[in-house]
Amino acid sequence: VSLALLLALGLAIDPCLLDDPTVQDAGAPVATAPAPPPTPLPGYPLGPRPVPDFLAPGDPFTLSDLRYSMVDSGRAEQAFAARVRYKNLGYLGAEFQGDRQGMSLMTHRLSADVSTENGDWILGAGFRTRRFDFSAEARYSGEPDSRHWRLGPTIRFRLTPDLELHGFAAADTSRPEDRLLTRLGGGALWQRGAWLEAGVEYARAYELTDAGSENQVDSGRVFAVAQLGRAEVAADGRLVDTQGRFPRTDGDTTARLRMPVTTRLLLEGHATGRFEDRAGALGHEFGGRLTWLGRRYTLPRAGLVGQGALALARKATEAGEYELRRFDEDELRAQRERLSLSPRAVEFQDDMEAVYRAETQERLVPLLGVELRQRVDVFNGEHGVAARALVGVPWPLARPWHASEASVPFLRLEGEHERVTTASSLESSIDRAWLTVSLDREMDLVVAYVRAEPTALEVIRGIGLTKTFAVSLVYARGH
Amino acid sequence: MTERRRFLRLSAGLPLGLAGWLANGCGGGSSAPGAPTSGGSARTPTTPVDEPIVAPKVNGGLNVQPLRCLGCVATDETIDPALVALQLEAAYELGFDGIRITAPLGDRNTFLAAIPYVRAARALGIDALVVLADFSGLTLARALYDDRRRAQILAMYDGIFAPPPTPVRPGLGGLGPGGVGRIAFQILNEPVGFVGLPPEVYVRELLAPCQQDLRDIDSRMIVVAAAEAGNKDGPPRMRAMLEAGLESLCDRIAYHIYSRDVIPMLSDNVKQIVWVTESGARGTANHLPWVRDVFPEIRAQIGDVLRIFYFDLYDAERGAYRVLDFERQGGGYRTIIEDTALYDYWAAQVAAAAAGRPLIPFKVLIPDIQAYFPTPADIAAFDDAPRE
Repeated sequence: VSLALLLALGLAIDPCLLDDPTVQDAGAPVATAPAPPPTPLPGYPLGPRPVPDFLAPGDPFTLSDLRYSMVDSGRAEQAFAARVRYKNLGYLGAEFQGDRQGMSLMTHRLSADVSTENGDWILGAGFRTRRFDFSAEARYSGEPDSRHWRLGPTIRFRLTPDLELHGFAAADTSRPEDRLLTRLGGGALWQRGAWLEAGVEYARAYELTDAGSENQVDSGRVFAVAQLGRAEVAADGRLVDTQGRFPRTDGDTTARLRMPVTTRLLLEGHATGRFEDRAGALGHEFGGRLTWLGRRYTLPRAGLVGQGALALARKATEAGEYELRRFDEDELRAQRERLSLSPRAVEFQDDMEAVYRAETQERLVPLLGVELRQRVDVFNGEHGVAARALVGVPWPLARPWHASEASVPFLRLEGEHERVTTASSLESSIDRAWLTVSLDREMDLVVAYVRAEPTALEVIRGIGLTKTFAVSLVYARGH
Repeated sequence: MTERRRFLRLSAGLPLGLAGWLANGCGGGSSAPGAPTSGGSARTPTTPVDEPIVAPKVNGGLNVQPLRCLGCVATDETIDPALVALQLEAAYELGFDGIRITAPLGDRNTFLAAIPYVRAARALGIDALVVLADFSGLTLARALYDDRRRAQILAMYDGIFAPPPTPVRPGLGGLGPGGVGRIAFQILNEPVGFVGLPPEVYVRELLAPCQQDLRDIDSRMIVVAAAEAGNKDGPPRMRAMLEAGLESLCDRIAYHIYSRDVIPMLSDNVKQIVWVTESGARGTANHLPWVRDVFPEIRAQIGDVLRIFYFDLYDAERGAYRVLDFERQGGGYRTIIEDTALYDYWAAQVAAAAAGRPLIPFKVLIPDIQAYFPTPADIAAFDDAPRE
């Protein structure tokens, strides 16, 4: 019902769906109209930021990522991560968080990572070819009484540029119920132009309960993201059939909507629900957010970013790279990094720059925002209501509700108040505040404070009122 | 499945059979008049027809409020003997084989009021299921979660409620020592709704250590797991508790059933005896049909159910679940039978089992209920317990 409503809303607001230039056939060539002169890039508090040279090799090491965070809720915990580019060969990363240490490597075709924490290890590896993407993860549990490995290989296959098939498995060397293979499944992902992405997945798993009985769990998932007129609509549904001592069928559904109501007013909403065949609804969450923007904003699949990302992915695929279409800023950046390591990287340079310019041009500059969320968890007997507000001050400095087309995000102050009820009537308040300082496109400083009254479970566990202060600095070259 | 159930039922009845066999010697011998079978059904009395007998225990279990005074404030320490006697008299004469009563750690006066109910019921051969739970607040849940306090709190409960009382007369047919009623502890009540403990957390982090500590304190203690809500929210939580290992951490699994729809949702595939520790229907007119028609349905559909505790004998809300009300009369109280249909049904069951023999009146068996009241040692034990 939620999905139908969202679709109807999206279609109602823009009936000229079929005329939308972003709704393109996947096989059709991308429009190559004469490019207008590039829009000048905006200035930031740290100065102007030109389009990065994505192909610049490390010299021999060049910093690409730096993250530091400190969280203090009575006991401070720090986290640090850094990543460098080594010449044109790849990226090397290292991270530390509490007792966790990890390293990573990414080359043109190969990726690997390793991390350890208190005797447990996680190893990962991946290898991409023109049509295949192999990846595997191995987790080692170092608990003295149950040392074992869990292995999870995945293989992805590009049947066509628009269609990817994948299969995965999981194995457990502790052989629960004398079974090495504990999970097996497969699925498909279909990308049509920039406007539609849809997928299905099926898996069978064998799970051992704490009571020592085995459940055979068959799960199916269907999901889609579509740009329909002005609205971006996403839906996700999962159905799980469990056979064992206590058989049941349960599932969950999610629907999301993002839609510019006007060129500077963004509406976002989501609805999720959990259900079980005989017990009925097990919980839900509804939420809505309205954000007043400082300048025109275009959803990523609906504008230049979508067109550019589509063109880049197609070109990469034609050149023998295994790349899906990406529309999220972080995913686009990771894609640029991979492609920059390709022997044919020069062929992608213009498209990468075009996507980067499009991201800059279609940037989000929030000035004012309000959000409401309501959730009920029948299973755990918890329900809550949250209200959130946002005030943004753009750069060049202006009053919170003033901005221009040249503005970029600078200061963003967000506050949230949530009331959570547990144990039928115990109410707890959680207050959160964040200040994000965007020094430029690549560097953010975030200061956060959270004051949380304990829920019933926390009271029972002896946890009282907590006050948490956190600060983090993120640098991401080429973001 | 059938064999397993038969074994569980036999196991549950073993203490009675064994105790009876030992008491009567190897040559056997007749049981006491009116002694029930392990399942609570009445034996055909073999005594002369005019000799009074103990009320046959034929109506299962009953939820009893630890009522101590009418209209008094929470800080009033009064435990009115007349009110305790009236509730217990009804439980005895209506043929119940078990009472379920809450002893809240967070409410001193109510905790102390639960003591005479438990002791007197057991002295009558009626089992007492003590619910370790607070009516409101998290005092007890916190104490049971705390590794430093849990054992002391459980030892306090055990020390006050577990010692068997002297039977009011021989041959009561109870399954405890000398024919008195047994004691069982139920660890919290509907954990999600009352104290906000999710099912898996309840099993792993609270029930498991409580069961271990109770085993260390008193290996004979019957440990009953908490039930979840008796509406459709409960079965998924119960299933999560079972999958988290509930069966191996208790002696009885508990269900609550307030809706017919819930019955098929509760698993009959458990490796443990099941007690339905609360079941009833809202609205006085619905009580009798519920007991007469739905109780057999529960037993038929959930094969491991050995006992159902009706909810409830008395509570403060008129016309909802209670069967009886009490009101002041002169210097004492009188019982008002609010649901005569169910009351008469239960009484008829008892009369049929008695086969025309008169019942020994409650007042003859327990002439002074104050003999079971909290002692200074009980009060000291409660006050010394590390509640906070």
